[in-house]
Amino acid sequence: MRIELSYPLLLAALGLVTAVLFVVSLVTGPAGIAFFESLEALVTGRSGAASIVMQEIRLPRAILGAIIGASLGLSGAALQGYLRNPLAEPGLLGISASASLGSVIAIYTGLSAAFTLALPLMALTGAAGAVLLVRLLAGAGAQTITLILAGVAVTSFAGAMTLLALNLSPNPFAALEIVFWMLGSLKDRSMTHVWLALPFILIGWAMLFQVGRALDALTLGEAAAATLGFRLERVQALVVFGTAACVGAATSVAGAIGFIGLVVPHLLRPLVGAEPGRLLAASALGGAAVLLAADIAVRIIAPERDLKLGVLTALIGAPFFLWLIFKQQRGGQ
Amino acid sequence: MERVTSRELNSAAHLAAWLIGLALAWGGPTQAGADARPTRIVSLNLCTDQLVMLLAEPERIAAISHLARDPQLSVLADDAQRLPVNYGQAEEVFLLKPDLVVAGSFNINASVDILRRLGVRVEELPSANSFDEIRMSVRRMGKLLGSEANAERLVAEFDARLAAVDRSTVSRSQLAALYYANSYTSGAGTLAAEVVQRAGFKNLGSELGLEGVAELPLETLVMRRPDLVVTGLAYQAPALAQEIFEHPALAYLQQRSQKVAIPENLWICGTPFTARAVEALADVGKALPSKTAAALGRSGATAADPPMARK
Repeated sequence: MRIELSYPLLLAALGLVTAVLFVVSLVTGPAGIAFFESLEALVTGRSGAASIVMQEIRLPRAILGAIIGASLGLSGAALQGYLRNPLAEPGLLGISASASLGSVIAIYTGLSAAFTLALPLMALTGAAGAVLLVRLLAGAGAQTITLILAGVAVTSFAGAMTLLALNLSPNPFAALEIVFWMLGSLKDRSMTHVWLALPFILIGWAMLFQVGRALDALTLGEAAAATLGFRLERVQALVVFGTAACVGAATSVAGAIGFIGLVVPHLLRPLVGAEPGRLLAASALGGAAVLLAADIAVRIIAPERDLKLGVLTALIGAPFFLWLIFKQQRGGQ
Repeated sequence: MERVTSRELNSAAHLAAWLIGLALAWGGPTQAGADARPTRIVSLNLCTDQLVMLLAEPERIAAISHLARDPQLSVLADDAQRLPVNYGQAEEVFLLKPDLVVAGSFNINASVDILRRLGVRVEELPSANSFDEIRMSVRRMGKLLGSEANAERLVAEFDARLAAVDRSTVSRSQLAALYYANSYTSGAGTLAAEVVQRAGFKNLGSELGLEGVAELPLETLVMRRPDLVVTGLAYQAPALAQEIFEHPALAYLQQRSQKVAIPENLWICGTPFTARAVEALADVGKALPSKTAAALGRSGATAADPPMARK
C-alpha cells in the first residue's frame, strides 16, 4: 500500500500536528488553569501568577520540547543518510551519552557557574568527539554491526564516566541526577535554558539542512557522489558538527533522550519516497511532534512522579529497534 | 546446641557467621547486659549520632556515623570532628568491639543482621516524626545509654523552649510553603509540618492534602502564593536539584512572599534542636506584616506595586 501525499502537503500536515501538540503542551500542567484563560495569561502577561506559570514555566517547556525533538529527528535522518545505515541515531551511536558527559563535567565542576557558555560548549565537544570516534572505529561505509558496536562502546564508556563524575561531587544530590542525564526530562526548565541552547541548535540545523542534496547523491555511493561534485570532507564536517551542535545543546539542557532519531525517520521514509534529502525537514517536524507528545504524556500519566522522557521513548523505540534488526537479518539472508 | 542441627546451617553464609561468632565469643566484644552502662557506643545513623553526642560523655562513644561531620546535615558537626567515625560496614563496626550499637530504622540491613548474628547488641531507634516522638526517642536513648537524668533534663529544656515561642503575632491565616531541592515539600505527618504549624503558620503541603515528603510542582507553588517560602540551605557544590531555587518563576514569587532559609539540620532529624527551627520561624512570622495590614496597604497602592517591597 502506497500512501500518496505530496511533499509540501506532508510537511504542512506534520507542521499542523506539531502546532497542535505545542498548544496542548502549553495547557497541560498541575496548576489547573482553564484553556482560554491560560492562553490569555500567556499572551497578555497581565494575569499575575497565571502569567508567570505560562510564560516562565510552560512556555520554555513547550519550546524546548519542540526544538529538541526537531534536533533529534533531524540529526537521526542526517546520520542515517550520511552513514547509509538505517540504525544510525544520536542515542545509539553514543552522541547523546557523550554530550551528557560533557554537560556533567561543565556543571558539577562549577565551570558553567563561572562561564555560562561552558555548558553547551562542553556538551558540543562531547557530542562531536563521539561522532568522530564512532566514524573512526567503524570506518567509512561500515557494516551495521560494526557501527552499533562502536556506538555501544562509546555509550557505555561515556555513561560510566558520567556516573564517576557525579559520584565524585560533594553534593549528595548529584549521584541521583544520573537518571536525568541518561533518560532526559523537561521538568522545571526555564527561558534561561532556551536562550542557552537555541543559538547552538539553530547553527546545527543550518548545517544539517545544507547536506540534503549531498545525501541524495550519496545513495549512489561515495565515488558517484564525488563525481557529481560533492566534496565529501565538507559533507562529513557539516554532518558531524551539525549533529554535535544541535544534539549537544539539546542534551545539555534536557539530558539524553533516546530513540526519537531512530524511529521518526523510519516512519516518515516511505512517505517522502526514500529521498534522504527530503527526509530531513519531515523528520525535524516529526521529531518535534513526537517529543512534545511524549512530554505531554509524562505529565498526564504520572503528574507527581517526574517520569523521565527516555522511559517513554524507550518503551516505543526499543521494540521498534529490535524489529528493525530482525527485518535487517531477514533481508540479509 | 540445637542450632547446629538446624537447617540454617545449610547456608554457607550462616555457618561462617556462626563460626566467627563462636570463635570471637572469648576475645570479642563483651556481651554486656541491657542494664549495664555501655562504655563503647557505636552509632550508625545521623539521628542517633546526635542523640548519643547529647546524652553520653565523649569517652563512652566509640564511633558515630560519618554523616555526623557534615554541617549541612548535623547540628553537632563541630563536636563530631573530635570523635571517630564509621561508614556503617559490619566489619569496621565489629572491630570497634562495641557494647552497644544504635541504628536508625534506615540502617536495618545486611550489616546490622551480621552484627546481630555476631552477638553484638544492636538497638534500633525509628526517626522522630513529631514533637512527641522526639521526647520519646530522647528518653529511650537516655535509658539505653544509662543517662536517664540527662534525657529528662533535655526533654524539659525542649518543652520550655517550645512553650516560650510567642505565636500571638502570627495571624492564623498566614500560609507557609516548605520548598526543598528538587521541588519537594513536607506534607501532613512530618516533623517539618509540625514545626511550621507550631510556629503559627498553615503548612501549604498539608493544606494541599500531601502526606509525608512529596513533590510540590513549581506551578502549584506560584499559583498558591504563600506568605512565606521556607527553603533549606543549598550545598556549595552545584547540582541540578538546587537549580530550582534560581528559577525565574520563584524570583517572581519572592516579590510577594517572604523567603527564609532554615538550616535543614534542625529538622532532618527530630532532636531537641528542632525547637530552634520553631523559634526561627516564629521570629520570621513576627516580622511579616499581618494579613489585614497587607490587604489595606494593597488596596491603597496600585496593582503594579509589589506589596512586600518594604522590609
